[in-house]
Amino acid sequence: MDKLIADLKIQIIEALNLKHLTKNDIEDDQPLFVKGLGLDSIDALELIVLLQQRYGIKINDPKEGPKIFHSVRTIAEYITENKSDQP
Amino acid sequence: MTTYINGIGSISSQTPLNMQKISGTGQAIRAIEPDYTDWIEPGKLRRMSRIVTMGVASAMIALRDAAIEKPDAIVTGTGLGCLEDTGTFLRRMLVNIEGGITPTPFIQSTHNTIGSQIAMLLGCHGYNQTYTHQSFSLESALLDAQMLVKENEDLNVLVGSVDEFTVASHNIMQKFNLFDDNTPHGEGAAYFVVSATKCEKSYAKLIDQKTFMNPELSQLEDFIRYFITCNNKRFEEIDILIYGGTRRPGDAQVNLIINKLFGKVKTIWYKQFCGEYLTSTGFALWLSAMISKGQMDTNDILELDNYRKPVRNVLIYNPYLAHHSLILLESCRDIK
Amino acid sequence: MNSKVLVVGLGVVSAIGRGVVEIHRSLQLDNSGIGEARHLRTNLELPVGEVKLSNDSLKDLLSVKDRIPRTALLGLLAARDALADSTLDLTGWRTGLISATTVGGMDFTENYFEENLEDLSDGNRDDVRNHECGKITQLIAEDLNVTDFVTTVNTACSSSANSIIFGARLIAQGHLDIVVAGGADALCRFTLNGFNSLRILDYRQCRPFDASRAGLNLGEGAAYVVLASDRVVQMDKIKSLCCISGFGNSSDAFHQTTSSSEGEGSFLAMRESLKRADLEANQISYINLHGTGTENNDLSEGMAIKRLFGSNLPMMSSTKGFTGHTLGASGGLEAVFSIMSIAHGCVYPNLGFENSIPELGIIPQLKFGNDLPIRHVMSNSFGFGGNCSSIIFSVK
Repeated sequence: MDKLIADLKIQIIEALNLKHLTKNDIEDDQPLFVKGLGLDSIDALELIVLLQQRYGIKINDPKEGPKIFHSVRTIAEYITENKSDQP
Repeated sequence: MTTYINGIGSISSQTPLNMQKISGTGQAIRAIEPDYTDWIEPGKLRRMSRIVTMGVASAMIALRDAAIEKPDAIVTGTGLGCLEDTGTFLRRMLVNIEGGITPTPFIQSTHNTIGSQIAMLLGCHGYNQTYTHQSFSLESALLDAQMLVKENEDLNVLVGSVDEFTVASHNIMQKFNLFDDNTPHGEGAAYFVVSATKCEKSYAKLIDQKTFMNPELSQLEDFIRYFITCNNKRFEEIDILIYGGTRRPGDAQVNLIINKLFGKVKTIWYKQFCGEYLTSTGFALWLSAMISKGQMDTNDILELDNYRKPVRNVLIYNPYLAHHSLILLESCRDIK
Repeated sequence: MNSKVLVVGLGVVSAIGRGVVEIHRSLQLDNSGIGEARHLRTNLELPVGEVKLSNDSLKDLLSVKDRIPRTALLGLLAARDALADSTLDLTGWRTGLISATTVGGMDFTENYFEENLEDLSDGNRDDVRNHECGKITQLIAEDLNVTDFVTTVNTACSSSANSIIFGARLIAQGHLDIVVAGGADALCRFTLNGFNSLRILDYRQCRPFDASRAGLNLGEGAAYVVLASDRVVQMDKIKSLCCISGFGNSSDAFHQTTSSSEGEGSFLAMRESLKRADLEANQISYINLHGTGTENNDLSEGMAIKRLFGSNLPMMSSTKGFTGHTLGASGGLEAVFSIMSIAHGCVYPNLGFENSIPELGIIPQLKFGNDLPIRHVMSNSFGFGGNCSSIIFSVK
């Protein structure tokens, strides 16, 4: 889980163009949306594509987003629960 | 419809105090870009493509120059819009065969993104418009800005233009023989704050501008003379011509006419400094404003050694293929 | 405004037909034009409001032989129709063309990219010659022989509304006597995939202002109005349909794709249009809503309307359930529908509505209504980037 969380932070920074941040700037349980990192609905869509392309997980209803993407840890937990056989 | 240019901001391939001709440097010239974090928070920069940061930063520079925090209206011209993001989204769409595409390049590809981002950054709810009509894009924006000021003399209008160079667009555009070593493919952003009120910051009075399509060469001289005289100036009063002709074969005849008309007038072939792009008159207008205020000396630009006469009247003329535009400015300095 | 600005001609082509007669009938009979794409080549299975004419059919109608983008073909058809409808002879008048488009020649460009992805310097340059938005306008200007002033507006979904506003101001300030103003946008894979990536397309027919709305349907079309000064109308003795009595252009300044929850940009644009028209809110007979069918737009627009109109809500409807959202052409199309509403004394229905949005409680016009005293119609167009515009058309 720790490695997944660390990898996710780097992937999120890259996918969302958060060039001003490093993985050390994002805490595991820090809220990502509204407050915290201040991400928005476009970022949620980007993360949906990230999960699909990197981890083979499809989120069909964007409304599930707020719960799944609450923090890096919740994303990691969701991936762990749902991922298909991916290298 | 007199308006005054009270603030300017430019990002181009030139630094104001060290203008250098770019001819002979290759077929493309990139802008010298500042550290954008001087003007835009890093967190907001992430949603801005390069063309948007160029435009936004130029706008911020112009506003600071005019000591205006928030303009009343924002009018933008761009010839080709946000090319990089358009290309990125197209490629992803084609490579992914229309599946699983991220939205960011799409939303950043719309032409009005530049003007909208400026409005968002400033919390400006005023009039917001974007023109995209080839090399008339800035001219349309200027006309609109002047009309806004005529409708309400209290307005400060932020008006400007931007176009970017991308490798993809260059590969396509060079098929139309637009660029060569003398006139490389350029890019740049230029924004201005205009209002009805002259002040100590004023650079120049923007007297008039005119666009005309595909004129007969035999009519060109008449068009230009009429433009000058209907603005209550005499032809002989033009001190400087900021000229957008090039050494391309297609410009040869226009160049001859201009040489005949303005042979004795100091002429700056401005595309030798900024390159060719659809909103290059933005650079020309910035240059004219700097010259009008005495912040740049034409002798230095032209490497001339003769008598330095103060500049009162500046004419910009850009003949880009079938699109011809004229802009007339008058210095705000007290020149006897 | 200084000089009165009159509407003297209309031209329109959309998923529900060409010309005001055919379109009025479709609107009257609840005949939506939304369905499967027949001409657009795409892997996405989404309902769209496609014009029921292939590019070859459009070229035949126009007697055009050159390969030009679909947006230009649609624009040429509507612009020619508008000028013909006005019966004006442009000779001797200062005439302008203000046209809008968001996609320009993208249908050709995306094919060019597809064929030359490895090396973009390969390929036939004629395929991308008309990519730029301004080139589309230029094709129309040359066809209409308009030379005095020509420009192109692109402010996303409010583009052609802004064309009409600029055209009106050019006449009001005395720069021009006649302006052909409006816009055109064709369907293409770029926009279909773009909106799909934002997850705001409905896989069913859209339901504007309905509680269960799930997104928009993209459409295509073109529409132009011919505007003229009072002097032109008097001297040439031509009919006028109505006048442009007010307009407003504001920026929401909130987000690139989402409107603010209180609809600030929309509210300001509508309020400004009333002020310019010197009208009170309760004098508006009917609003042609932007009403795309997305959760965000309809709620935001509804909030703004309630802020402005209070409990005195006029009749209102979105016609996008008929045409789809035609992006850069939508302001023009809906301007034409608004003018038709005044001309016929009617209001058009809002398809797909069953239940009000809970936060709003607004029930739009459900059926076609006739023999109504329609004096002032407000047409709303709100775009990405927060570009919000509103125009009021009034009986002359």
